[in-house]
Amino acid sequence: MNFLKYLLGDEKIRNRVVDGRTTGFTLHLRYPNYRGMYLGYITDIRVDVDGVPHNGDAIAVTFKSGTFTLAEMRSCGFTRWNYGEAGEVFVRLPGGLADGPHRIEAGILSRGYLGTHGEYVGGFRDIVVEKGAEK
Amino acid sequence: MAKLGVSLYSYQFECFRGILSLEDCLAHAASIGARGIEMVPEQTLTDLEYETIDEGLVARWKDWMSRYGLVPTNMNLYDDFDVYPNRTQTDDERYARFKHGVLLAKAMGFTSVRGSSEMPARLLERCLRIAECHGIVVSVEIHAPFSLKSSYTQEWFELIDRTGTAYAGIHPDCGIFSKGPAACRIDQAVRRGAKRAVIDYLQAAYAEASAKRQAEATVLDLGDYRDVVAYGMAQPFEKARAMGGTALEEGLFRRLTYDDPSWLVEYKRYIKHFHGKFYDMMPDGKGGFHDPSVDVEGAMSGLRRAGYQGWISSEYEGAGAYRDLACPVDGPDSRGLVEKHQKLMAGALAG
Repeated sequence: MNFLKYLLGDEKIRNRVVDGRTTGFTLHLRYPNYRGMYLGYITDIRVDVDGVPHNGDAIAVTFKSGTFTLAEMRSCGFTRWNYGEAGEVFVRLPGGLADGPHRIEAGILSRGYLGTHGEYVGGFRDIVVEKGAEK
Repeated sequence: MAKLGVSLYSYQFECFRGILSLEDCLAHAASIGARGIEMVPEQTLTDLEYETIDEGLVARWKDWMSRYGLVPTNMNLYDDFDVYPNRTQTDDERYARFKHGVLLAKAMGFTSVRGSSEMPARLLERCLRIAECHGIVVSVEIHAPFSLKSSYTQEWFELIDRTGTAYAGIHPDCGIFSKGPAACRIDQAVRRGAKRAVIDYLQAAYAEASAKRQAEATVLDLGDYRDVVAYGMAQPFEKARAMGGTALEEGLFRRLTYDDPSWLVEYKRYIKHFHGKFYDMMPDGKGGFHDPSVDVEGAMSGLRRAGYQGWISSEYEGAGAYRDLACPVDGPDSRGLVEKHQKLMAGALAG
């Protein structure tokens, strides 16, 4: 992955609990270019937890305009990952992030002249999870 | 005398970080004496505001224009023909996107829109008609690696002449008067492993190639911009590889062009707007500053000699050079840089 400043947000990385079950976790990511990107250009989002990648069907992103899986993004020629908008990326991981320290890397792969030119572009953070939420 | 404005593109670092709001950007531009405002709507507006031509946004925008004494100038539209992974958009879809952009521009008070260099002539001609109906100028951006003397630009001139419309023209980007890569971009390449000796060699080769290009003044058929190699640089790039250079050094020069500023006089009848692209502002020069990588003084002199009366927007382009993790500073001071560039342009236009 190619890491750039300010793409992986400072927002807390949290486990998501639905009906008492931890289904995965969320982080916030921004798109790395000078204008908003139409979602049809997004090819993949990959989140590595301690070197183990999660991508494709394991990912959904929530913007102000709604929640999209990567498959749903492909037909979006009007909805954008707005400039500077922190999309909330959900990573499906039953049981969520285990308590303790983790290296989280997150990147976007996209097409087009404002795309990421064949590499994932994003950021990384070293975090400590205590009782399901980053400390 | 040309009129000075600012492209909101210049404040992209602060906007991305949430340091400046849209109103903050407008207030800053007004505070340094700029009067024209240019916009990349897909940067400044949300998708919802853009697609719905949001009434609240339009009302706020008009209020700000009036409160700060500003005038909307050019709105930069794009042609994202490849947005869907499984097919290219049809001409009808691309035209519909353009038409929507024209309606947005008109609602917000802009007087020209950017025609994309992605658009083939058959589509541009169609776009011209709908823009003209709304009293909006279609201005094609002439941006490096294209040149005033490249076949793409010349074909657009022919189309303008054939239709006879007054609502079509160009806005040259000052980056077509490039003296070499900007220091901030060179520094970033060096942080990534580029070799200064290779860059120095390519800089000398580029100066030589540029002088030859200006002397020859021929129209170049550059084809697709993605594949362009800067004029006269194919052999220097080979030699740079032999010196141990990589894509890092080559990438700094690959899409540069240095048009003769007198070509602005030659094609003055087509110039509807101007992008004052710039990077580093260094002390000394007209108005107290100069850009070592862009011939701002030459371009302003060309516009003055052309009798150009339209808008010039400061367009700070260096933000991307501060985004790598190894960059020692958080980001550029876009406001300070824009203020210096306005002084440079005013000084250079005064002669």
